Amino acid sequence: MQLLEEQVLNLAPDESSKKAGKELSSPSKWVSKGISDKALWGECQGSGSKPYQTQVDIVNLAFKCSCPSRKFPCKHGLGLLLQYSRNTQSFALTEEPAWVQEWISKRADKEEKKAEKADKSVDTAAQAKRLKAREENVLAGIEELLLWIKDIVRNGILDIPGKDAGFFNSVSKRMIDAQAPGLAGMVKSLGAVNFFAEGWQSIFLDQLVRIYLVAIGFRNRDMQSPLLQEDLKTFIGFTQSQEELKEQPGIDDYWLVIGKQVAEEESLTTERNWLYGAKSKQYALVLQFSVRGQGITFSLTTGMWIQAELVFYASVHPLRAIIKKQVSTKTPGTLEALTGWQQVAANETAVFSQLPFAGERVFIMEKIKPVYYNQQWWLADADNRLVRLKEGYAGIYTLLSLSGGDALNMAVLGKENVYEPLGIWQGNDYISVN
Amino acid sequence: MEYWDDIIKTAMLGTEKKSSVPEPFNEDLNVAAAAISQNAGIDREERFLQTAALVLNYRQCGATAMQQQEVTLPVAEKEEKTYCSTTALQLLKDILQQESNSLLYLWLNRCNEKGLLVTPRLVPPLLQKAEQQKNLRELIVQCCGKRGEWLARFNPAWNFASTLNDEELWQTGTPEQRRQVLQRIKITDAVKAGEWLRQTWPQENAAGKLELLKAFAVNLTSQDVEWLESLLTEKSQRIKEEALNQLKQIPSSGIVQQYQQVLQQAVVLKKEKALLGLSSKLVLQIQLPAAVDETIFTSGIEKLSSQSKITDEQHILQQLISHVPPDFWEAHFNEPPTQVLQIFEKEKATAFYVPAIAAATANFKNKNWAALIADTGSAYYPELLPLLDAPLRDKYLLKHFEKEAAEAVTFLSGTQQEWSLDITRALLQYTAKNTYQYNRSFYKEHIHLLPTQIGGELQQFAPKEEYLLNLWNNISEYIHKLLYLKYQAGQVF
Repeated sequence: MQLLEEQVLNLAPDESSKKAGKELSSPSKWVSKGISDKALWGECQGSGSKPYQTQVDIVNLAFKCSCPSRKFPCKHGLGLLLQYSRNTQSFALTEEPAWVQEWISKRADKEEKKAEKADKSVDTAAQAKRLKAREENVLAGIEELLLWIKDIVRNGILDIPGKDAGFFNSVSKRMIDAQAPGLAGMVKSLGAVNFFAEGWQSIFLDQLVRIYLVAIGFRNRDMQSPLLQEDLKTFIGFTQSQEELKEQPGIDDYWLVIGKQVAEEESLTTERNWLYGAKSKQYALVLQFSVRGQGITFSLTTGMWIQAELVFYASVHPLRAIIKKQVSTKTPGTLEALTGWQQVAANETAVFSQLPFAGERVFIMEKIKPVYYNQQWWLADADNRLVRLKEGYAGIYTLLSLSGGDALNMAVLGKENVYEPLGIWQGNDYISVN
Repeated sequence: MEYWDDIIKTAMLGTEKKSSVPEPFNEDLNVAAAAISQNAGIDREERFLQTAALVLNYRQCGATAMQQQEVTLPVAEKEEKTYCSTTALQLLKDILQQESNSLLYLWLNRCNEKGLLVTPRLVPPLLQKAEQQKNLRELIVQCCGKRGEWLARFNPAWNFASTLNDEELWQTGTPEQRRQVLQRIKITDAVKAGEWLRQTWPQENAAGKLELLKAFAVNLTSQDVEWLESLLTEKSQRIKEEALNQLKQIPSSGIVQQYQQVLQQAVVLKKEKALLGLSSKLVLQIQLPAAVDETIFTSGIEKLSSQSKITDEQHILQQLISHVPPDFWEAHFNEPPTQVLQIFEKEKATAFYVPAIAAATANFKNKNWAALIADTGSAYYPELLPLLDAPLRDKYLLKHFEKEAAEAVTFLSGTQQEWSLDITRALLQYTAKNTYQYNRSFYKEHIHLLPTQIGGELQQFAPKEEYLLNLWNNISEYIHKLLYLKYQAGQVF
């Protein structure tokens, strides 16, 4: 495993950890250090009498440290990995000390126990009863939601910008009560539309129609295919048991992390990791959640390759997935890219024709360059077809500087005719630009 | 898209006021749209929502990117210089993270000296830095190479990175660029700078004139006199004052000559008999002549003293002396500088005017006189410091450091060359005791001036007061870190 410094820093839970990690990347801070084929470790002299023992599982990237920090990874883990990314040669290949061996073997035992735990039987009858009750509750909520949507449509959206937050929050809360958190989130985002921006009407109506489609689709779910029913359930907010998912066969592949987006709301941090499988040519979205820096299972960073088995959530066009098993972190061969926006349009048409309420998707593109036209930035393909760069995209000057006016191979996220670059390739290196 | 626009129009007013939805639809949508409109089981709102959903999906499925053959982006020129090493780039990232402009200056300077460039990834953060740090702009532009020049075209805030030559900048640059280029040319080619400014002067506005005139105040020569004197008839009072101020710094200007004439009469060195006529001694007499040319009082010389211990006459003489070059006295007394100074210092009444001579030395930037006063006198004249060579300056500062520490630190903070170990020790002795005033940001901005060797001695400066000790320990650890980065900046290139 060899991560670039930037990739290591992307693992940090917050800015202060990045800074502290950098400060600990100096060799002078470390009493001892070493590497084996399984782990990277070091002893860092802190303020106490005994140095902190820091270890990194380099097969399935994971951290452990004897320091009292609740952050994950802690500054010592980041510092150690940063030092390794800067100067690999300074780490001698040697046998793991006992404290590292103990942790690595415990991790292996834990994986086995997890598999055993999955064998436990569940009360399917009770489960079905609970599901039925919830569906009824959701349907009751949907009826109220549809009335609210129709009221908006009847009265017109002209006065919507003048509504206070309560107008949306009350309905969003009602959807929570109705056990439809997905719909609640969609209603909340309706209230978050920037009503001062030009074209808010289209954005607002777009989202309103999507909510309508999900709600009405769920109400008529019996008429849909089983896979579309699953999509609808996901959008409503039904969760699928990860343990059950893990029992299903997945796709074993070399996956490149092409983008990582982190959003924080109150104390909940949501990580959206966009992956691409080199063999399967499948895109995946792996979500991870953490509360106050705790709870992230896999340490993923943009540009990192992992060999892993991914299981996809049931969908007409599978995208969201979980990592069932990570074997190692390695760098394989080449990727296949789309050659132009026409191909993207074809792909999107295939998705939207079956999932009209689908969100943004990622695409790996070949020979794309930023161009300036009509007072704004666009992304042009080799045929000079242009899509707009997402408003507020902060990496434009980095993108331009890396491009120097030449076309780049690029991963983009978006839909229809608006996209934002996630990363670009420079030689074999994939560099984040968002 | 047309259908979607129609849907929005209906949505804006509401189905109650505007029931129509786009019709007729094209053949792609016609069948589905007809099914919706003919569905009697749904109400008007539902019909609208279903039609909107149909049009929405038609729009998003058919979204094709527009083709514009004429849209291109010029390609950046190939670099002529090479990129610096990964280690050097890594250090630059660390320095940017520390936000120390002082270290950044050092790094950029070294990079530039070696004729190397930063990689494109680091060009935007550096240009962004240059946006705020004007003193780093030139170095940053050099280190960003052709890519920086190319990139800057797309951001008006980065127009400082343009590679226009000085004359083009003077003709077409922003007010700030023009001010800078004038100042630069005034140092290297004073005649040309004068020509440029005279040519455009009538076209400049009042505020612009004043700024340019201030930039002109470096490397003043006798060739500037005529033009500066012509400015004394300008409308703007502030321009007149600035021109007069500059004229007072040129020995051949009429105003300085006028002051000299007054002083020639007022200050007389006489031989007087001593020891009952057996020997003679030189006596300095200083007295304003009975009739003083009144025009001197229109050039800024004050008539009345505001201090009770200084008479009006002393006050006038003091001002006049501080505005004539010190070498005037050499010619006036026909004595070398050492003798002149001794003559003034001999009597208390005449020694009173030595500070005015020191002020004149600073005003006319006379390095010989500055060295003489600093080396022989016991008084402290901070205005002489910029004129002294580093060893003498340090000796002079160390002699007065204890009493004048705060002022000395302020002066040293503005210097460019790395401090000597002795002066650094004296400075730290003082700043370590005043940790609230001289905190981390002080060292962050001045680390380029601290010699790296001082790193091993930091513990010696620890203050005795318990309440200051912890803070100093934190600060000294921080200084260590900065010194390590500084040391690396010397090694990585």
